[in-house]
Amino acid sequence: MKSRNRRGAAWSNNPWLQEMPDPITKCTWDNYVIMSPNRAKKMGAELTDLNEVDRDKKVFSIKTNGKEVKLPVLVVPGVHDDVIAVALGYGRSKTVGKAAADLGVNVYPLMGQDATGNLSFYAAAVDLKNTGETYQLAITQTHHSYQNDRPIIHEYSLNEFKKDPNQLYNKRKDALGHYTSPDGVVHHGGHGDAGHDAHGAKDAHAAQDAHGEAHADPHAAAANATKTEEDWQEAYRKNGTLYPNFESHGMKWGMSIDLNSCVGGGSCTIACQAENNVSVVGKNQVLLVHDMHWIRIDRYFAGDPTKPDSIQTLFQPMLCQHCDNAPCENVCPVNATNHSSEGMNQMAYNRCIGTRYCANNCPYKVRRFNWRDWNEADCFDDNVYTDGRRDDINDDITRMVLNPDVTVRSRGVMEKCSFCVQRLQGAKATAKKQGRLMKDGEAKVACQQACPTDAIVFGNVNDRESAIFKLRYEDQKERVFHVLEDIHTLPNINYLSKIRNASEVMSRNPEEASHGSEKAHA
Amino acid sequence: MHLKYESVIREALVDGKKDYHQVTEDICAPIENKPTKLWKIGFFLSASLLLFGVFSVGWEVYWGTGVWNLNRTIGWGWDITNFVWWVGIGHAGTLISAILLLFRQGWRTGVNRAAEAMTIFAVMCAGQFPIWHMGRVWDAFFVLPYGNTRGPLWPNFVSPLLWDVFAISTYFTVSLLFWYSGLIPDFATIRDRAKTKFRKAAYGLASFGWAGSAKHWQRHEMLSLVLAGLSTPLVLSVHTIVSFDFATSVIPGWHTTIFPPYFVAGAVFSGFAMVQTLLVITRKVLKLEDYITIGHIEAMNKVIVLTGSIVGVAYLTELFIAYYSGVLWEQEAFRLRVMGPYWWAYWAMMTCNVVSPQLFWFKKLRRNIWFTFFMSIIVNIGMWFERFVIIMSLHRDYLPSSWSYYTPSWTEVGFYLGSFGLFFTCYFLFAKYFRLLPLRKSSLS
Repeated sequence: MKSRNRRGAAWSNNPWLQEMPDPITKCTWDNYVIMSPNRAKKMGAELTDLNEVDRDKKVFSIKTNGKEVKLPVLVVPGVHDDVIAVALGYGRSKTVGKAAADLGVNVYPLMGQDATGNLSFYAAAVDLKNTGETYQLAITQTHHSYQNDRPIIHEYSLNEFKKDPNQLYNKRKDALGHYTSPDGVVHHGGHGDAGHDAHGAKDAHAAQDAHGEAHADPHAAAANATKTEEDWQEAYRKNGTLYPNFESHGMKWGMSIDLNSCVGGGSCTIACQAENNVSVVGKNQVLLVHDMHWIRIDRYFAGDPTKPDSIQTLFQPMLCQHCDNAPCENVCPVNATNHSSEGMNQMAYNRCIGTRYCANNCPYKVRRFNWRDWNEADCFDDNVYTDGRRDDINDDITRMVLNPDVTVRSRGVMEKCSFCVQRLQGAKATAKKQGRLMKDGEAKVACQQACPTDAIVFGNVNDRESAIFKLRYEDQKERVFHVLEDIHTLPNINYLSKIRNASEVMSRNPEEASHGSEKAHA
Repeated sequence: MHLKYESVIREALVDGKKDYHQVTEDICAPIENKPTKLWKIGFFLSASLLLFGVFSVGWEVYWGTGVWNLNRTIGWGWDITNFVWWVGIGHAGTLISAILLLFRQGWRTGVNRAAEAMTIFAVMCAGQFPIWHMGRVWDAFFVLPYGNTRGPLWPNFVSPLLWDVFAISTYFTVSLLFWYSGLIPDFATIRDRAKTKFRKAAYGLASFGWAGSAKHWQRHEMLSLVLAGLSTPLVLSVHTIVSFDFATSVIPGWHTTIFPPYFVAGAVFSGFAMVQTLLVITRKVLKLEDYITIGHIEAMNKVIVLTGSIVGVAYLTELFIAYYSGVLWEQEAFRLRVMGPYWWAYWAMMTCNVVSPQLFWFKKLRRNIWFTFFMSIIVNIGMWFERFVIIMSLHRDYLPSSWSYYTPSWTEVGFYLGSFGLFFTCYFLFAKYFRLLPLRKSSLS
């Protein structure tokens, strides 16, 4: 038994935490019993590819210490076949508050006492039975493997990495390195004028002038930045598309997420929710896949589900990638989503009419639509709940939970990660008031600030002194990749590959691994 | 010696050895007589469906798009499926009216007026979906390029949705003009035969003072040809542009260059099927068997088997290209179409669109009214599934973490039923108060 919310559910009435998906099961608003695929199969609750879309989970009865509870089952690979686990802190009465009342089942009665009279968080003899009933669990992620060959995550074992640190870099170069210019010449970012095309001089807009003091000329910064990048990346950026390439001189915000450091805890999600007034939607809406988190953590399993010891888990924080060639931007009929001169993909909420085409066309599926009036922010009265309940979100005290720097979105508009633009503007304004350039680290995004392992690094990529520049183009160059790089979205977020201290990487099948190393040797 | 060659094989376009007077009498009968019981029942049912649709949409607008079961992964579902389906159905009208007019196909006279009306009504139905699927429908006018004080702020001219706005509205305008200009001489005939003052005034206004002079006829002919010439490219362009909604995206299963011809063929396919459905019913209900002959029906069935086969080839080409391209995303998208959670939709589409129309190779089946009616329904079910299958490419795209599933809610079904209500309400009113068969054309042929 584990205590889902720290200190025996002391915070269970906080809807942020209730709607925060469990790092492993990705379930919200409920407790449940987790068991291994083998056991589930034996007991008639196995998960198949087709029934994963089904939210109805089998309900099991658990009897121990003379008490019985009934809980829905979630099948989680990696659990020992003879272990089941349940979370404490649910099944509270109405007195605890609106959010946690009547959620889940109280499993404290199952707890026995150990020899010293303390509560025992485990029980050895458990009578488990499939009741045949079902119960709906609101899960935010229903597919658990990243399908071996999908190039969305790259991971290597420590030995592989030591043997050839440039394996990933070469793989990327092999895939994308053939984009020469139309006249057959590869662009050389450092030598020619490739760094500044048509938009060059006009775009100089004194652009906050925030890249390090050494660079009075924004062009120099851009050119230097590309100089350190390899030629093929520039060539791919320019020639991988029919459309013109827009350079961001001056500021260009970028983020790096280290898959090695990410522990999947999800404080980024909550920090973002607090900072950006992201709505909590409730269990019924999560069941409809209407969850609103701007940054989520995708959790994938690799390995053989029937062998618990083989399971490797991987966390990938996923948020708007702020693509420089963003698929969402060109499909909006009303220009409600567009690109800033600082490389950000931004939303104009009051221009959005809600066709949802942008969300459909987003390969990362990070756009969140306000399906309902979560905030009583639209012009229709009392349309938050269809059952006639009224909320108190508009009373003066409750509204103070909201961040006054961030717009509350009305029903029918799209929203998504803004790179905490209010903080960036604030940091720039502060520096400007003091008559100086903004320093690296003055603008921090909420997820970066909250991350306990510093997996997220953020800053101005055009500033050669910035942490993000050094990480991306110097220190960790060989681990850098972009998700779905091959479809030419040109994300401003990069990931750093996962290096596992394990003998093999389970997500990769052996033949592909050997294929990869062959290439690396060649 | 004959000055004019007369085919001995060709069937008469009008059966029953009618003279001109009788033709006029027959065709005007539905307008001038009291509505039949069958008409009243049909109209009542259609109007009820329409009201239910209005209620469903009202519910959705009040509570938000969230009352539909769409989600963060699948942003379009029944709404856009129905939009594309209705637009497709709206194609046959123009095709029959314009292209068959340009090719001087005499048999079109039996079906063209109904087909043109069908086009107008189908496009009206289609237009409802992109409008009401918007999250903030009260701001729908943002898509129009009107002068404003915000900069001015224009719509995004590279968005396929904006192209849709222009394509559909152009198509609707031209189809409406074409349809209405064809109706003018018929309105005049009814006006001349009118026995009540109101009827005379109403049809007099509608006929724009048509006197039937040679000059009028000549101008009318010229206008018809010009409009036919304008609409012919539209038949190709409208569904091409609708297909761009998908083809220009980056979603595997959408992003494919085969879509324009494939969508156009599919549109003609479903449009002809819908014309069949309507004709088979109306010729029975309004006793027009002598005017809409079995020969007309057979000719239409031939077009159905042709376009059905084109669509079938397109489906197979898609599968082959997915395999042959070696692109992981394409291969996955098509594997999931065939064997994924929506396998049933894919196989429904294959059965209805590719396999069953092949039965029309048999002449006996082509000329069988009941079988034709049955097949026309099957084809439109299949074409609905085609659009559903394509749109549901969304359910499993790039990142497996976001994979999802979707089934419609009652409001979405209600909206769809309501569009049928709108369509048939318009159709019943049209059949009663407008001309179902063009008087002049039937008479002349």
